[in-house]
Amino acid sequence: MGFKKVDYEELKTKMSPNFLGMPIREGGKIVEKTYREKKIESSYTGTFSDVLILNEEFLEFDYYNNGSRKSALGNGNISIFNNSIKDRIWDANLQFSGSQFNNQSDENNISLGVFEPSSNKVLKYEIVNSEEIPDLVKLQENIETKVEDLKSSSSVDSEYFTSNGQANNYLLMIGRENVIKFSISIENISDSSLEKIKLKKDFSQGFYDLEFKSNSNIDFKISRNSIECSINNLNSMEKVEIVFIAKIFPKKKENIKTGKYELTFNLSEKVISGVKINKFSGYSHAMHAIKKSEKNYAPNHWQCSLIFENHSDFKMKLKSILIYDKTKSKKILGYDFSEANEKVVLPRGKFTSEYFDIIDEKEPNFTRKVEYSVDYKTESNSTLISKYDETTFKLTRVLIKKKLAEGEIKSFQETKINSRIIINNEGTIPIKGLLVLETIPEDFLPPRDISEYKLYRSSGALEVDDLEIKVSPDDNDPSHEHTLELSINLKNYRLDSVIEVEDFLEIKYPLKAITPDYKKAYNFPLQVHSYYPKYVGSGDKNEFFIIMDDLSKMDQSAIKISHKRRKLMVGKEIFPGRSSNEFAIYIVAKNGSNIKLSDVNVTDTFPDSFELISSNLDYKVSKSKNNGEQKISFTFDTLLPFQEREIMYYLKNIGSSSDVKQSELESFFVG
Amino acid sequence: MNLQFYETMDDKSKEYLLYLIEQILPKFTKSELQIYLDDVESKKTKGTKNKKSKSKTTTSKDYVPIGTDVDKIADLSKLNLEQLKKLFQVFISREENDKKAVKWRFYQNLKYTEDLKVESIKININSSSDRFLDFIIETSENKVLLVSCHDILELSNYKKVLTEITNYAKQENLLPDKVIFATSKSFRNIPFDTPIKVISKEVDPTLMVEFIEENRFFKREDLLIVNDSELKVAGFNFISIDDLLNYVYKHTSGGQISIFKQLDFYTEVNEDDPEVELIWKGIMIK
Repeated sequence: MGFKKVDYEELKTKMSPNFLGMPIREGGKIVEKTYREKKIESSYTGTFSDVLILNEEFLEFDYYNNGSRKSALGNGNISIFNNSIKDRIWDANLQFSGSQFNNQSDENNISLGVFEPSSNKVLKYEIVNSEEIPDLVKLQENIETKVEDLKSSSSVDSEYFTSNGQANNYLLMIGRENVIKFSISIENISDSSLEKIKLKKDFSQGFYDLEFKSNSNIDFKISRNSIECSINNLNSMEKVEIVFIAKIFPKKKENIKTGKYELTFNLSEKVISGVKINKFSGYSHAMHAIKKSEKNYAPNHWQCSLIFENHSDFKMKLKSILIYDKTKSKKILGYDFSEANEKVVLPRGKFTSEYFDIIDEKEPNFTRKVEYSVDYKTESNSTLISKYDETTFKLTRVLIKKKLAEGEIKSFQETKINSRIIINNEGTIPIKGLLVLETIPEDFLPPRDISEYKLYRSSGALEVDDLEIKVSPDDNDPSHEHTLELSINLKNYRLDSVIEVEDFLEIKYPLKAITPDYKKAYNFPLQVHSYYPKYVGSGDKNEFFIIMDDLSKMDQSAIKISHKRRKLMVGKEIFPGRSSNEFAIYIVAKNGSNIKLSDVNVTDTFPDSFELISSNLDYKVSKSKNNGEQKISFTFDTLLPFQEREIMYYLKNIGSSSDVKQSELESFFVG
Repeated sequence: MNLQFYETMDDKSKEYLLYLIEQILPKFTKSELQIYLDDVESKKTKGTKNKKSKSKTTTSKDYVPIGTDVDKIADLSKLNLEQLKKLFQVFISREENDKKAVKWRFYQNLKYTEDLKVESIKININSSSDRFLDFIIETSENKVLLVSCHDILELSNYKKVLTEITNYAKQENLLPDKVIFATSKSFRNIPFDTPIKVISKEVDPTLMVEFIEENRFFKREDLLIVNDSELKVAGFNFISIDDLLNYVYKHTSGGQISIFKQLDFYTEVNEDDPEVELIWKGIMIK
């Protein structure tokens, strides 16, 4: 080595302290010599070495949130290690099979050349039929959200609502603390035992108070945005249940993810793709010879045997021995060490064949062929990573307003009031149906004719045949309260939604006030139950999450009953003036009621023998055609409740008579 | 004690250092040692005085033949303690990893490497820091190789080398057959898959990295004995088994080769019956 030539591929992909920067992932099939990146357990004891063939596979499965598989990618390594610290191996051949090698025949025989001591070579391959590889584990996630006012149509008794299956809608309520329980079950559905299982669950920002719960003794680690737990092993068909609990308080409409899962595990002594190491052969230091000894008692009689000496630190496997005579015309000895009759020669060990006798005057010669190879052991394991997509929580928030067009009505008087209920969907999921519950207080009655209820959305009037009303008790007695139930799109589900996201629904109907008493306070409590589908798309229509909102928590509506009664007094007083023919007329108008009076007109008359001198208010004077009397009129624009206003005007007698009688001024007064 | 760092050595005496330095292989010739000392002490080499190139471009005058006096083994005994220390840090402990250290270790490697059939070597004696071409090698196949040495090869330096090569090629009318980048470490973003265009010729760049085999079968403190003492070498000269085998191939007559190691020979007191282990056995055919 010293300075070693490095090719571009190696520079890009190889892990080495000599290369700076991140390596790119290796792919494809490359046969290359590598450094030992991994400590391999070796049976080396100082004098005993072995050849290890390690077949490792790495698979990555990606799943959608509903559990169906998105993709599968995998690759494998066949690493051959020469664990001897001194013995080389040469003429090494590896034969393996498997359907993974799309560019080779079913059975592959690769020449690997020479292995230096303590070196290894790696054969890389891609798993081409990874899509056909069945799932080994089944991971199921069950998300439960615990919030007050949130119920499920199918498990009303439970505090939790549960979303089973993967096409679920997961709800969170805005402006509330939501406690989320993530129940995860991991089931080994393979026929092998899984080891070193690690599960990591990510939590998006905003989650807090992360907790881990499990009945099993499982190690776990909680960090700011994730929980990791480790399980030693999972036998075939065994299942483990894990619970993560987290809290979140969504403050606004935001994208909150349920969090990804990453499950990693090992499969020991097995490769997934079906690759098989059929045979490895290679030579190391060994010697074979035929020992020829002329018998003491019989000259020219030779006792012969073949010896095979293993000079290496490896176990050596003898495969066959064939000994012929010199001309190769006669077979003298043959050994076939097949699988059943395996012959292994230990390091520095020796194999001696049976003796065979030859008669020859000269030292006999033979033709021989010995087939042998270093022995090897194989190990295999697979590492799998399963990644599961996250989904997004649906956020819910409903704003309710109730308006009565006539904010004030008269007491003890039958009045028709226009009632409006406005429901705004401020969440991220349409509202499928609504149940509106309104309490109508005594002295009021709701309409019983369904045609009087009108629905509007932003796009205009909503014609819906799936509208039902129920009034209980079912009577027209205004002496007690009634409950009005409006059910919208909850019977036939004809509409995809009643209120789309960022839309509203306005319900208008006339309410009848029968004998409202101004001494009572009337409230109209309102509850709205919003129905959200449990499943995304065309799920089971009969299953809903129901969220109840109460108007009292938002904007309580009330009506004011005005008790209006008029009370007015207009008085007149005549004062004599300085001269006997002068008079001052004083008129006072008193509004004794709590009602504001408008355009109050006061009219007085005086004889035509008087003339008007002055007045403190604007006036109008007209002369009567019949008796010549003059009529003077004053107008107050307004007379506020309990207000008193005065009029003073002056008259002078312009007639011949010097003695003017007051009685003439006490004329008919209109007011 | 081990020879990992100069500072951690128990014995820093001149005698011991000199003893170790004398085991450095291949041995320096007289001229090599002089050029080495001038280079590490940033002096101009004898014979090049007053020939200092003021040009910003490297010229052929900056390159002098090196290693031609193979018979004249350098006398190391006159080196001072500082010079011995430096040699120790570059060639024995290899704790020095700057450009010059890499350059001189590469040069030593050139003397016995099997990868390049070196016929002659010229070294750049212009020690200016903005010079990147360090060696011009002629091979036995009449190929010209340009070598640029680095401690860490970065993309910016790589580009500067390309510019220098082009300028040099134009000036000297020389088209190289190969450009070698010898380095201790390299960034992965160097485009070694793209040929270098030198005037009209496209040349594939070659990266040579100094790999230290961590799990080699011998330590730098061991004495390595080839066959029956046919060759004895110090372990610190070699950083991998291939490195050692290249040297053994060059300096033995080949045939059956067994290499043994005598543990801690250079740092421990020799025992009467030293422990010797076989570390490699094989055939070298010449």
